[in-house]
Amino acid sequence: MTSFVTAPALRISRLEDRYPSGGYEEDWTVQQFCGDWITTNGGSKGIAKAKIDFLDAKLIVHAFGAPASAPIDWGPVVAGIFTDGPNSSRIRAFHAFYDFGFMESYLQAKTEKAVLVVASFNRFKDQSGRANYFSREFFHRIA
Amino acid sequence: MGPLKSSRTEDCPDSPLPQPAQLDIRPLLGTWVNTNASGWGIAKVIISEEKNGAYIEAFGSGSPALIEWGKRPLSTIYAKDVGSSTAMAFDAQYDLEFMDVRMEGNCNLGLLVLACLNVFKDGSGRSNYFSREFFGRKETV
Repeated sequence: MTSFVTAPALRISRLEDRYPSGGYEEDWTVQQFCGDWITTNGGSKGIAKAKIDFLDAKLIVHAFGAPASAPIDWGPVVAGIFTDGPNSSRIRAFHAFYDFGFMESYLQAKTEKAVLVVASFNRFKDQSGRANYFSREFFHRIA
Repeated sequence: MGPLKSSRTEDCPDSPLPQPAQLDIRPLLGTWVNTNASGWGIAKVIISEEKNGAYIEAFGSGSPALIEWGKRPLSTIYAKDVGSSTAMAFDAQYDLEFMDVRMEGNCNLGLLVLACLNVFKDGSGRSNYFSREFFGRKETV
């Protein structure tokens, strides 16, 4: 006859201590991007905030440049959506493009643990002598 | 020249810009090998400087041999800010006929972080996808 030993209830300090593991699950839908996002850096000189919506099957990104006290409205643009693999339906990133006339910005964005990570590739077209520049910023959702 | 236009505060230089604004691209140059030797993505890239600009040559993972993507010019090279003269990022475009790949790379802590935005054009039903991989510089080029 086989006997079984029942393990006592395991004590945990957080949900991820559970076995099988529990805890945070990544959102692989387009909803991971939707909402109002604000920079985690209060002194940011880059993107102050962004509003992202999914409307009519399009991801609409509406960004605002710093300063946060008087944000510069970049207006809404439609972003391209990318999965995490050619045979996957899991949404991994978006790519948005802004043409300001005097400069262009490509925004490459993804979420990690509910933080929006945006890398921007910024190219000047105005012959001002400014160097094209790269920046990477983090945002948390406020709504 | 009038006041500089800006989309955000960091578009405005903190001090007068150096003239001429020539970027030092040496931080980008070299042979970069994927930190994940068994990855299914890009195995290796070579970034070089030639008389008429900088180029990237990418090699996709493959068996029995790597898949050569060919050499393409770096479309734009980026510094860390508007007043910097040191390159730290770039983008490049590959048209592989059946798909387009926009590469966006940046150097960070001795690594090349390479993101690819992959768009299929062949009607195969494959999803357009995003990849992000890390590369270490091979010392002996």
